[in-house]
Amino acid sequence: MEDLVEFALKELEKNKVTYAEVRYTHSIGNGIILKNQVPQVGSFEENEGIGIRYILNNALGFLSTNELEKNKIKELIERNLSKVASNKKINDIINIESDKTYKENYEVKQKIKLVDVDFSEKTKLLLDAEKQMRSQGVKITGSFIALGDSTTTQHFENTEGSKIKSIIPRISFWYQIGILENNKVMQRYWPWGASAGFEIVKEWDIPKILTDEVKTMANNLRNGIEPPKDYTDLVVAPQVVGIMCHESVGHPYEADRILGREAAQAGESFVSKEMLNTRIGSDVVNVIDDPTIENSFGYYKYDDEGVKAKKRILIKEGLVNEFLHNRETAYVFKIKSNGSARASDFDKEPLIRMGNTVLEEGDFKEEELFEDIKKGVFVKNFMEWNIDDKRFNQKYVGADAYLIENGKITKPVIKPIIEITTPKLWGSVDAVANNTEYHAGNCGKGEPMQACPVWFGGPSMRIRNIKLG
Amino acid sequence: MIDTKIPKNILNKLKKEVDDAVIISRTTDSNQVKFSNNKVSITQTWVNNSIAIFVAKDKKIVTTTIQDFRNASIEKSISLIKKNLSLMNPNDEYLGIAEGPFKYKKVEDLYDKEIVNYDFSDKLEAGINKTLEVGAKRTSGLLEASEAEYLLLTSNNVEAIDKSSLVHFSVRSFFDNEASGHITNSSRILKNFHIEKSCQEASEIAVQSKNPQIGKKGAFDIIFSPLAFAPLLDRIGDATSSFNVDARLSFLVDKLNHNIADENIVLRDDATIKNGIGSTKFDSEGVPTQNNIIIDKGILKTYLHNSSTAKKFNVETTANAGLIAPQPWNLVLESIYPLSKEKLFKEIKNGLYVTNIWYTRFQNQETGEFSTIPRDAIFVIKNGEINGCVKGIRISDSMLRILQNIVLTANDPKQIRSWEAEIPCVLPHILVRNVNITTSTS
Repeated sequence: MEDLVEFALKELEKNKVTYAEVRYTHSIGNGIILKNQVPQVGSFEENEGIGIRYILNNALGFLSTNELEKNKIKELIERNLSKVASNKKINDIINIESDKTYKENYEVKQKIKLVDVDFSEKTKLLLDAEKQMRSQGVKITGSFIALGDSTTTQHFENTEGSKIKSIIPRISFWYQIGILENNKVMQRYWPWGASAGFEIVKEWDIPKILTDEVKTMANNLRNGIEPPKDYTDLVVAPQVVGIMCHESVGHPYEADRILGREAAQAGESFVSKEMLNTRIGSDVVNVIDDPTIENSFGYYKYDDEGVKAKKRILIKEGLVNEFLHNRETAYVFKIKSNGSARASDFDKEPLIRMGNTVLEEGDFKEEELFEDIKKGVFVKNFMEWNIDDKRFNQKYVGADAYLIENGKITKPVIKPIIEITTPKLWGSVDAVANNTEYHAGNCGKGEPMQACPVWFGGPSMRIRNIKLG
Repeated sequence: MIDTKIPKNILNKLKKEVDDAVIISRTTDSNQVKFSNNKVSITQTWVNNSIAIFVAKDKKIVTTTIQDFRNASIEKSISLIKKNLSLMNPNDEYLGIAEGPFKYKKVEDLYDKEIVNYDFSDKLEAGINKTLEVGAKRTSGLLEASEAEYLLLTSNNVEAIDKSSLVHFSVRSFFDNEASGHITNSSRILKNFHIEKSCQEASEIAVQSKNPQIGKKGAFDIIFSPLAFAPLLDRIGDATSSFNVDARLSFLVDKLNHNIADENIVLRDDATIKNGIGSTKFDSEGVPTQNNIIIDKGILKTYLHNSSTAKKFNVETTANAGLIAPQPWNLVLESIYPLSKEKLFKEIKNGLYVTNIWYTRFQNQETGEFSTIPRDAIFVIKNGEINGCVKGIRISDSMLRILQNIVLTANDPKQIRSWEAEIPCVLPHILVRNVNITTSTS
């Protein structure tokens, strides 16, 4: 398909574009869904197509098709050029920051190739896990579990001379399980994901994940007490820390939100350019976004504008340090892009997205965080959560949670609710542990919606003097 | 005209190998203009063709999508279908697809050939200018125009074709960082599609919502605008799917024939609405669609079914296939005794008018506990009149309580499709009593 990519670039150059990039993407995917132990469907896909973005007369155009014939592509380019031209009175003036030229092929290695694992093996794995989960003496009211994978080959070229070919396999597993215990019901949803071969699924140990989940939920419903009503100290575990980093640090630091480009969709940000180098958290808070973590769900080596990915330090010792940029926002901020442009598929424009957003480790062991807490709550994971579209007011409802009394974990706590502003949250952190975990998610942004695979995580952290709902 | 030769060829090959086969061929053609800060930020064009395939053999189900229509690629896909069927476990809940042929009634105003290539640039410019004239300082949004053609073939004697178009406008205008208004306007035809009017309304809301104060927690009577309630109606629609009921991912489990809402309330799913965004002549099995009354005078009358789930539940299909999971087409929420919008406001002594919400998440889909965040203008209502506005609040409640506490609606139904509501909805302003509001520790 390289000839089609080059053909598209030449067509655009003939039309005097000042910049263009072309992505050809081919993807093979498979998925299995089980509902209440019954395999519902096995699905497989093989998709390919081309996505083309360009700047002409300082206006931005994007077009995409899966009709991979030169005449069709040429026709579509002409049509989009004409649409862009018709908006000339209201087109924004778009400039992008220049970047280096790269020529590279890279691939995530797989010990067990995803395409070599068939439906029967995957179904057996899920059914065995269900069977084990249901042998724990816990009443399961409903279960919905899925295993999916994709292997995506992308060929990227731009008018600056970059040629980047990548092969990234991704696998994900998720479940939603309900239980009945003590005349109460409880549900938990959680996804797992990585860029890797099928060997990672064996490491995950799906039967243990499901078994631990239902036993924990049952213990909570059987023995749980109400959370403390007064102001109290909290310790939140990596899963909760991760979602907090993603929602209240990663998202508001997306420079396109800050500039208002996503205002009618995913919203804006309480953070402004002027807040760089100002305090947003205590000095033990360091949050990074790093797409280069090997085998991570949000892994990529070059972004979808051909910029080399790197670790971004969003919060440094409690100060707003860096935003996530593409080449367009980098131009506005008069800096270089830090490689945050991602498109979820060939037919989507690249937007500023997180890769893997993580709180950096401190020096404490997790158990040391509890030591001087007289009365507090330890929240290990959560159910419902949300945050406003400026990323200021957020809520997390704990699922697996425990009372801390005199430095020790004692009884389970039912549904502690953390409802807090972003500055209050990060300003109240006084200690960070060294037990980093990574968790997977699919982050939504854009219209049409683009779900991008990400990791979020970090170690446990302690938050002082919070009122729980 | 959509090609029928390749899909028919695929069906003929598969019919010999499987018990049931459904082929859905679709071509789509769309243009989109996205704007922010009063300027167009990108102009996009898409053309895509695909053939989706569903097959069942000995209750084993496999689906795939073909996008490469060369013979070798099609043969490869058919061969993989056969291989994957042999590797699947049976789905014992699967009870087949509908037997055709069927006759279809035309649904009016679903296609306008002018839409996809219509030049909206002057109208968009006028809309942006109107925004500024009314007083908002900046505006963002999206204008999308598309058309699609759709061919359905099944191994049970169904052959049906439909063609549709859609024009969708979403505008969010800001007076400042704290004061904003959001309006959407969607139509299958150009008639009655007004960009400038939407811009004016969004700008008026933005200007009117200046200087919001931090809201208070507690129980409030709330009037939801159609845009604000649509995401909740979307989740209610999901809960009516028999697939979700079966997985207990629905707060309507065990509620059939129970009183779940005020007796003034009716909820329908109607795929036959003229100019309806989700309207269609037939479902994914080819069954002619119909108007299903889901909640009648407060009583839950039916879940939504395809042929297979209907057999399992021992009822007739409601023509809502989704081959795996039944789905709503157009959710219509209305009341038997609607009021004018003005009279609806007069019903509130001390409450709120919520104009948009976002980030709705369940704590438990079976109990319906959830929270969602009002976004854009949140007006305070005192003695039936708007009296200031608030910010920083969250609705933390249960869907069942919300349903039970809808007591009145206005008589101003509007068709909504939005970023937060994927299922098309038709609904008026809605009054919900005693909605629980929570706030953050700051």
